[in-house]
Amino acid sequence: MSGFSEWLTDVNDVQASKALAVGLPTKRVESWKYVPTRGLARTTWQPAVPQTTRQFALTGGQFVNVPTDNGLTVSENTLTGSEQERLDGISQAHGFGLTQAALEDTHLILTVQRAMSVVLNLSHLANQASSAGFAALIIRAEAGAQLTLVEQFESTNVEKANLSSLRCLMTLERDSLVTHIRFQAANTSAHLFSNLNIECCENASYRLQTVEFGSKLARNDIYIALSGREASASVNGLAITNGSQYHDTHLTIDHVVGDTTSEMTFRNMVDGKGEATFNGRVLIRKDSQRSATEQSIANLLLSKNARVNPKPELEIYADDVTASHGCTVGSLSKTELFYLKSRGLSETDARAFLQYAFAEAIVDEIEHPDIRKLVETQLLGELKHGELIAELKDSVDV
Amino acid sequence: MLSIRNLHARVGDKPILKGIDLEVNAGEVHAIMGPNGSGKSTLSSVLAGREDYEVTDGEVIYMGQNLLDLEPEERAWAGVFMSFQYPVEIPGVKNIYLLKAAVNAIREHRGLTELKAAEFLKLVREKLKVMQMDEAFLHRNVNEGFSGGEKKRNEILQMQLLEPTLALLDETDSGLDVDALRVVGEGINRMRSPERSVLLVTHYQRLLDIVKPDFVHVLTQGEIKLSGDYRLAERLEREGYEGIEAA
Amino acid sequence: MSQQEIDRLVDQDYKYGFVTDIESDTLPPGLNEDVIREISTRKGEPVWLLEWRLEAYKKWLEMAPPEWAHVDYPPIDFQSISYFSAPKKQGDGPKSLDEVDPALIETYNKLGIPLEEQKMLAGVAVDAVFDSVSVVTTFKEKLHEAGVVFCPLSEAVHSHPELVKKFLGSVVPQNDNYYAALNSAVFSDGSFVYIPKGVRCPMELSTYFRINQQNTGQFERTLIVAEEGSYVSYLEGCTAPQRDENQLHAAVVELVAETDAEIKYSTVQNWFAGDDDGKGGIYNFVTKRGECRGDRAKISWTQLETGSAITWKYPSCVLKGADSLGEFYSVAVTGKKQQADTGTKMIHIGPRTRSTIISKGISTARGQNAYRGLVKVLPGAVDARNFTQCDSLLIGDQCGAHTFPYVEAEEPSAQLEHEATTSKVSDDQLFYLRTRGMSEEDALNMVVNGFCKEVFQKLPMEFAVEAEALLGITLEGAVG
Repeated sequence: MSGFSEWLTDVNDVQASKALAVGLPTKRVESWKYVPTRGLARTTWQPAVPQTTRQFALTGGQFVNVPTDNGLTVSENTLTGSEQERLDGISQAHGFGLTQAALEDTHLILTVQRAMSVVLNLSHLANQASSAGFAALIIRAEAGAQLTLVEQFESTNVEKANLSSLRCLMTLERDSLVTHIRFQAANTSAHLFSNLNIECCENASYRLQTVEFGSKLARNDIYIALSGREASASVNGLAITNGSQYHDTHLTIDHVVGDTTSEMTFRNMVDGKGEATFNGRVLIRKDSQRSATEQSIANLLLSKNARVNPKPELEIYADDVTASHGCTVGSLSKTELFYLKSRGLSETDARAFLQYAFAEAIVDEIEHPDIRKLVETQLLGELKHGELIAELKDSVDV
Repeated sequence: MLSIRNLHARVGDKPILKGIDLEVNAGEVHAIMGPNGSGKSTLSSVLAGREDYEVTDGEVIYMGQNLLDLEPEERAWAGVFMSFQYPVEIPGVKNIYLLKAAVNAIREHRGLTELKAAEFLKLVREKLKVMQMDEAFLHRNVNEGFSGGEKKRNEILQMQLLEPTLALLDETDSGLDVDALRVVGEGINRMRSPERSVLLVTHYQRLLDIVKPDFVHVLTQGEIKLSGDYRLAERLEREGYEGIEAA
Repeated sequence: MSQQEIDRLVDQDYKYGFVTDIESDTLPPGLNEDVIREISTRKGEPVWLLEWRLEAYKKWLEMAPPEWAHVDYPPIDFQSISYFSAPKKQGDGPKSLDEVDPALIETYNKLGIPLEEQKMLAGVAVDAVFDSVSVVTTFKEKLHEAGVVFCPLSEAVHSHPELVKKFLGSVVPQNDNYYAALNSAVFSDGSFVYIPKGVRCPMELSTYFRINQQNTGQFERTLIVAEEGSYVSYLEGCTAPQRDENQLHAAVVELVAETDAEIKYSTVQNWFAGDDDGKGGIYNFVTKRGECRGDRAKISWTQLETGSAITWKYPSCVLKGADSLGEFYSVAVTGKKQQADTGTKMIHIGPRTRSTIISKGISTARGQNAYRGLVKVLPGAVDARNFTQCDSLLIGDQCGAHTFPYVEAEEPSAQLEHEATTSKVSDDQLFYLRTRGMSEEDALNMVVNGFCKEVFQKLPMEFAVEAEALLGITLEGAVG
């Protein structure tokens, strides 16, 4: 890890020396098996510099313009014991976790007050070439609070590799609801690392809708603990991987107690020389009776050089559960293509229709009309020959 | 309009059609009847251009051109429409997108101007009424979660919009209850005209009670064994395919 | 069903747990180059084979035991194991059954495997392996007429050295994994099968493995070669006495199927599973792999895994030939404190290669059962197809069922489908059957048998019955 090592050598603390000693995870680390780390290791990284903006944004590893909405508290106080423990858990997982811990200097703590409802729009600004930013965000949703968190990534072109890492801890107190929408269309030199560590207490509900088109490399580690009865989690994700992009999501839903439900639906569409990895794991612990989980993973391979590595895992230690998963890999359905062509659509239009349909199943779930529209528009831009559908949407959608 | 001569086709190594000869003139309705596995559906699939079927001999001339040389979408542009026995579900694509894209693709190839949204909607609403379908159908995904009857209505709705010259209706009556059968049958009848031909592929006579064919052909083991007028269908209903074959 | 009822039903003795009192010639525990030389000398092996073993041993020394499996056990002390044990007075190996020690014949009789040909299941030839050596192979003559070679591997080394040299280690290389390397260094005996071009093997071939000695490891190695257009169906069965210590079984099986050849490999594994608290039992760490080298070749693995304290095995298919076919049908039952991490790898290399994986896991008592599989499609495996179905059944709330299906797809025309479900035995189904007059145990048995039906149907007929009976016995300890 020459690039990191140079930087880490300058950071004078225990975490940094640990990170240096361990090094970046290699292919032997099961969860990093497919991650191409060469670009990461070769770049000589500099700390990123924050840019001026008027939005609530993460830039150069700093949060700027933190909102002061009614119902929202920005706290100065430190992490709770359990939050620190969860963060340490991420750090200890492998050498990159230790690196994150060593280089993060911002911990923003946001609390959505009891029974209040807040919408947060967080923009991720692109870091400059060869620069890297590390930050942590702690969100506490108090009992009965409702939060909609919308994350978007600025797509400004950056010529050389740039890196951004955000570790986010969320604690959902009883009866709270967090709708988390993530739309990642970052510049194609970006290396993005995102850790989400969610804890849902009794009857709390966490809903994640994530769509990923951008970046050179994106690695998402998501861990959701359902630790109170009647807690629930749903994840709907789409990754469109093209060119020489690499997208990787490792998602674990942990049914810590019984009477909890979860659902994950993830779709990969891979073209060009792209590679996508999705590891979806559901853990139902001993005595977590009456838990229910459903997983569905669909993968579309559109080119000869595309590659996909899906893995739906079930780890179950309780017997009174319903758990199922389905996973498919394939190209566009010949039958569906034939049907569309028999109705007069050209080969290219028919293909675009089916690609759009594949993605739309996820995009349609986005619970925020403006973002959904934005994603749909950009989705059509991503597709080869998406114009026909764009035109149809404009003309006949009410 | 359509001349099928000595048509042989197979799926994998298995020959299914073993020499079909059929002449269909403009304005005629032909019914192809036969037991399961006789090759009825293969015939309509071959005519619509499904890939899995390999034509090993014979030719199909449609309006002066060799139909078998055309891609499925070129056949559609040339006025061939197939109503599928099992209409394909396409989750994520709204019915109305498909309808409008198809109508305009075909209009373009007929040298007609593209229909604007308002004109298109007016036309679609008209046809929906004929098919006794709710407007909500337009905004549902293509065939997804449709009942058997709804799927078949949707097929005939498409046919009405695309105004084909040659309609191939593959087991359009299967899975329909009595009311739906009447709606679908009348939908087909409305399309009958001196310029349009219909090839009805069916196992049973019941649709033929509503859509009276000009000719009936019995297809068994990949060959047309018997041809006649409407009365042949009635005879089949009485005597069954075995009776006919024995005769 | 309540936990007490389950526990009551789970208590079932291992009926193959007896020890044969026979004088054995056993090497003292320990592993080093001299031990390997001694094994090789005792078997009268040619120099090349000894060198091959020593090469494997060197590789093994540099390797580390795998840690990724979902199993938990203390480190194995490889110096406390004896690597060779043979019943005494064997000389050059028995020429006929008359020369076999009656105590051995009695042992196999007790196991339900009579070795006298007239008493045997018609149409099944048996190779009986007792600890480290093959004691007898039946029906040799009849097979010889057909051109089929079926003999202990140690005998094949002398009778067909060119074949053994050509194929040994060609599917599972010496350093494939930790336990395969160990096996390559110290393998004792196993079966060798060679089916010449165009020959359909006239009978089922079968090997019964029996571990008898204390502190002895069993390291058999099986090699099956099916030449162009040939067919063979092979079955292995395994048992061991009931002992308090864990015993290591690290076998390697290699299959080669040439153009249009078909190999059907079935396993009924019933090694001693240890007691209810996980004391004793066999560590079953096995590498099984088949290569479809020619076009349209077919390899089918069927397994019923009911025994062993720990099972770690992934019978795999490397599908090189165009249109070749790989199948894996598995029922794995874990009760007591058993742990199983088992599944398959299907590697699609040739165009239009197809594979099917059907895995049924049943967990009872404190058993942990994991399916781990890999479906890999390499570029150029045009129109490759895979269908995978993994179902897990949980009986009782102390057990676990896990599914780890890996997919790596690099070919756009491939179509892969994976489905998995995990559930407990349906109370509704049990209730329904009981209202029709069935006992709770019979009802459970019937439901579980139904759950496994798809796999049992793939077993050769003679053994399907045995498999059902064995499943029944295992479940008697586990009704839920």
